[in-house]
Amino acid sequence: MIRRLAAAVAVAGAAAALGGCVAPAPTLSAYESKAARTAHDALSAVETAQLAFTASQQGRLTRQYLGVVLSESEDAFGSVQQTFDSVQPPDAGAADTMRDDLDKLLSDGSDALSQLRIAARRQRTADMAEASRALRPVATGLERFAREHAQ
Amino acid sequence: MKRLLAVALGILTAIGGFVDIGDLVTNALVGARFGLSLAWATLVGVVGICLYAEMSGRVAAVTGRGTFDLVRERLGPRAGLANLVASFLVTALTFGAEIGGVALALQLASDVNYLLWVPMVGLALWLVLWRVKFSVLENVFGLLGLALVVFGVAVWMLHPPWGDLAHQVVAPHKPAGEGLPTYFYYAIALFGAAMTPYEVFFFSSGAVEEHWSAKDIPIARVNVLLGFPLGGLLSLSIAASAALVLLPANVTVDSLGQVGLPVAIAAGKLALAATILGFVAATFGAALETGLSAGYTVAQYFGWQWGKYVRPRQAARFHLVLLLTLIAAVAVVLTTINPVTLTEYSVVFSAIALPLTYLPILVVANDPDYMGDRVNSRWVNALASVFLVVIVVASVAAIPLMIATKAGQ
Amino acid sequence: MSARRGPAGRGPAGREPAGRELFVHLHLLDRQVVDVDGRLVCKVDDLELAMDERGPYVTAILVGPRALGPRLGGRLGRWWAAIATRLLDPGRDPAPRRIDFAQVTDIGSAIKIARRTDELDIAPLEAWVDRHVIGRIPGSTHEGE
Repeated sequence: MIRRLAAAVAVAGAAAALGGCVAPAPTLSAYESKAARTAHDALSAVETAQLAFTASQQGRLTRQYLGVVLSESEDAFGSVQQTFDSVQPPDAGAADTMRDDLDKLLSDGSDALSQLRIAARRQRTADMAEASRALRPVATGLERFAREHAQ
Repeated sequence: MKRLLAVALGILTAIGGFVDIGDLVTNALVGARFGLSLAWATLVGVVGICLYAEMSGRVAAVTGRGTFDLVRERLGPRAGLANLVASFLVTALTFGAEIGGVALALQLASDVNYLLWVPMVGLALWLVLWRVKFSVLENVFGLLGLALVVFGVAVWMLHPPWGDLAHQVVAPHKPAGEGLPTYFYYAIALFGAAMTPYEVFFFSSGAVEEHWSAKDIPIARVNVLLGFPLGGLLSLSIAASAALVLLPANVTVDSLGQVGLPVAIAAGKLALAATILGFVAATFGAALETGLSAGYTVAQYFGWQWGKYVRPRQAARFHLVLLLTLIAAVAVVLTTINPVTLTEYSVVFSAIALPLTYLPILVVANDPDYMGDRVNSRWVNALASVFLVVIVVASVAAIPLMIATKAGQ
Repeated sequence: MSARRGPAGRGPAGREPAGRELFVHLHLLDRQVVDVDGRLVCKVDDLELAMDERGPYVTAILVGPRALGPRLGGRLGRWWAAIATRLLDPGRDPAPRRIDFAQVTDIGSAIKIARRTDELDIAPLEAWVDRHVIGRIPGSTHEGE
């Protein structure tokens, strides 16, 4: 009984752990779905940062809270980006186009998020506004990408 | 008057103590992804916890025996031990998640990395478990947890389309773009968050700690039947605030900072401060409850003296289990595993472990040998049996759904 | 199985004629034992039985890993009992600790005995933990509620 239970827990744990990893994408459609998923998750991080920035502009957020939320968004964005970069794209032109499009958005987003975090921690309001503006086209692009490649 | 005050206090702590890291994260996460279309799962969970917490409290008041004491008596040593191992692991996992939650909340207040807070949180927890009276620790954190009412205020201030929200609750509809397995996976998570097994261990053992007798049953019943549903309303308001602010912004919740964001946006800095206070109190209180519950389960299985109503030296093995569980839980959080991820798993594993706790309670609550004329009434049994089916279905479905949805992705 | 409850330690001749009929599985095994002050003592891990012309009757409550181990059964049970013997009672008689059934005063949702926990030498682990860990932490004797 105990052994069986332990085995079940171990299997569940292993399955959960594997679920978090990213296997190399074998087919174009699997790659596309991964790309869409990446855009969706990256968009969430960008929008979180934007919400926090707007709230702080209106004096609704403490400096500490803003700092934490921005750092977490940056980290989340970074890990999404890294996961996508580690996926081997299938040998097809469509996959390369997809990858180039998304890569551009991800690196723009990453830069802008870092700028936003740095400006916030230095309490430079003008720089924050500029970084936030730079995030807007990234958000639009990610949203469109996620929509177009959703299956 | 004094009696009325005691009843009021009990209800308030039940509300404030209802929400823990599992409720905070799961409700915000689900609200931001599914709106209020899964509110039914929380509501079902609240009815279930009311039913079974009342039962376990009544059993403890009449017999003076904690839940796990009776689990072993009913299941025998072998199945009882298997149950103990599973229940203890789930409770310890939840304990770790709560500790991580306190540290994350302190990070939000201080901008100091949560990992630096973890050892200090562990030390503070141990000091409270070692020195502070049971009634004090139960009441203080329950009352401070009431600060989370700001989520309700925030929902109000966001001027939501009430009719639309109500429609989502009463006529649930899976959002387009989400798969049915994912939808039900999160239904189970919400269910597990509302009905976490430790709440029953804590509630029944707390009754013994506070020397309840049969005459305390009506008060306990009022606490449960008013306090828990109002606590459930708090859970729903967390989901609603996320549904109103985060869902339209395409934000999916993966951090505690995001959970509090809607309150700040709706109600400003002061409300945000209350939110953080509520986060700290709710998670710290729940950490105390889960830690104690881990100790209660082990001590009750083996028949050791347990509880804070005796001196620590008179319950040495119980206090040793508390200490070791605390150290293990702190160590798990210090591995830098994301506490939010830990929380997500803890609520699902709670749902899986539910039948282990709830079935023995139902059996004992029906045994006139223990309960005399305080056995379950017929309608309680009818309702409890229906719930047992729900609990078993959720428990059995949880792991396949977890695998199929890659834990809700 | 059922067994009559009879005061142990005395010969069959000294036993009360009206020993209570009990189902040991339902009424005794795995039940909590509580001392004369209401403190929790142990679980009924196993029972010691004796036979007379009227059938079996209970002579003692057996306590501790060496009583519980065999009831757990299998490798786990053997391992359980062996570890306890080696760690806690090296060199001691490997028979489980016992509480004479004559001490039992009441059988209800708990089993009440007429002695105090500290008078019974049945929990070596508790004593060890108290002496070496918990008793050494400042504040370990402050009042409970």
